[in-house]
Amino acid sequence: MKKKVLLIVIALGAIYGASRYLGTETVSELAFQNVEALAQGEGFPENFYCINAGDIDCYGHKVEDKYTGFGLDPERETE
Amino acid sequence: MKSILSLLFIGIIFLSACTDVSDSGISSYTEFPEERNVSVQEIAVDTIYYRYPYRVRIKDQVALMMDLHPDKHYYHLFTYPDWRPITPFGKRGEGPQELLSADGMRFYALDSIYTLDANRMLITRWTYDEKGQTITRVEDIRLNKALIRPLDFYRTDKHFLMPAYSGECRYHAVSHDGQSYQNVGTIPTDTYPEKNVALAQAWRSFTDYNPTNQLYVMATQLGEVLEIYNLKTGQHIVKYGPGGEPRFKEAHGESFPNGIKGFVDVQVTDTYIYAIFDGLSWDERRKYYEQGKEAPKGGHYIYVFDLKGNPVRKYVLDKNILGLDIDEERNQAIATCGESDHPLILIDL
Repeated sequence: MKKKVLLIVIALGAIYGASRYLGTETVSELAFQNVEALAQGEGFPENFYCINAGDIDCYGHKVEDKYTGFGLDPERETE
Repeated sequence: MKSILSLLFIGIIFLSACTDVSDSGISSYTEFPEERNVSVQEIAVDTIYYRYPYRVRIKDQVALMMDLHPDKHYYHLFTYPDWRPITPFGKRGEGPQELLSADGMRFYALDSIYTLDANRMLITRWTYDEKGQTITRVEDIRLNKALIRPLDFYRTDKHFLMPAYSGECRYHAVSHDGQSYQNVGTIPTDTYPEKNVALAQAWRSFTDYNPTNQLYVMATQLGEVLEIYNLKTGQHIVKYGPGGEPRFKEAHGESFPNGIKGFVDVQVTDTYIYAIFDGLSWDERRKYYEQGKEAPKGGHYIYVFDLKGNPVRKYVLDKNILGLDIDEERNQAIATCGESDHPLILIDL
């Protein structure tokens, strides 16, 4: 079992702080201040969050939401 | 070197062409010709607390329920229709006989209860002894790792049918030993150019199969797409609802949901296709988090389609539900509910 690290406060604080810094605060980013993140350790991509208990598949967990914050990887969005 | 060759071999198998199906209809629907409001009835189950009652299936006098996020056991057997608990099984844990995850269940007979653990890549068959009221694990089927991560399954006489996770095809027909398989169909996207894992994740679908009419039905968890594969004729029907294709953002090789959350469960009978539908947008869902509230769990619509995928009727429920089992003879549904003290509800259709 990979060790579970990253406290929610740190993770969500990072999202919030980054969003404020970059001036791109959105509903989504604000929303994640109030939820429980199931954060993973080794091998887990940066800025990748599996949040609350639900039925969305996220890195082997079933979660309510799957969210990515700010990353260096290119992102694409469907229309 | 041997392992590299093995991986190469698996890769070659995996990249092999998907079996074509004949598209006999790609169309859209905008509304249902009939809409009914229905009040649900809670079923009193005098037993432990279930955190996320997700699926239910009934066979004769026994009901099987799956809890997606249990403290101890993923699966629970009850007597039906009086709902007395019989026994839990499928203990959650990391031990050799324990389950890492619950990704699906199929209840064919008392000696043929199948469960899927995608984290272990394992299908397990259990048998229930009605006299002793005990359940026994009788068979473990290890799945070929090239299947990556199957999230639903159905066992036919010839195969396990499983949605594909690579994006290269739509589903796999897997041998009963879990090892060899055929790739079938393609994901019917018009908006996304690549066939990759992110696409398959976004098109994750709940499925059902009816051996009588040989229809394999797939309903997308995001967006609103219903697909019907006729395994007898090879025909493939695609129906896009107003929610359209699954919308997502791709990053880190993964998909992240946008748009709406769509279907929650699906069942195909001899006459109709029944599907629970959610429809809430992810933006709306995230506003709940922003307000410190829980977002709705499940959908409060049951959509009914004919066997060609044409909309027939829409039920509007007064509670959100997660899974359903349709009894057409009694004209009712049993559903799981994650927003009540009672994990199961009865719906008169």
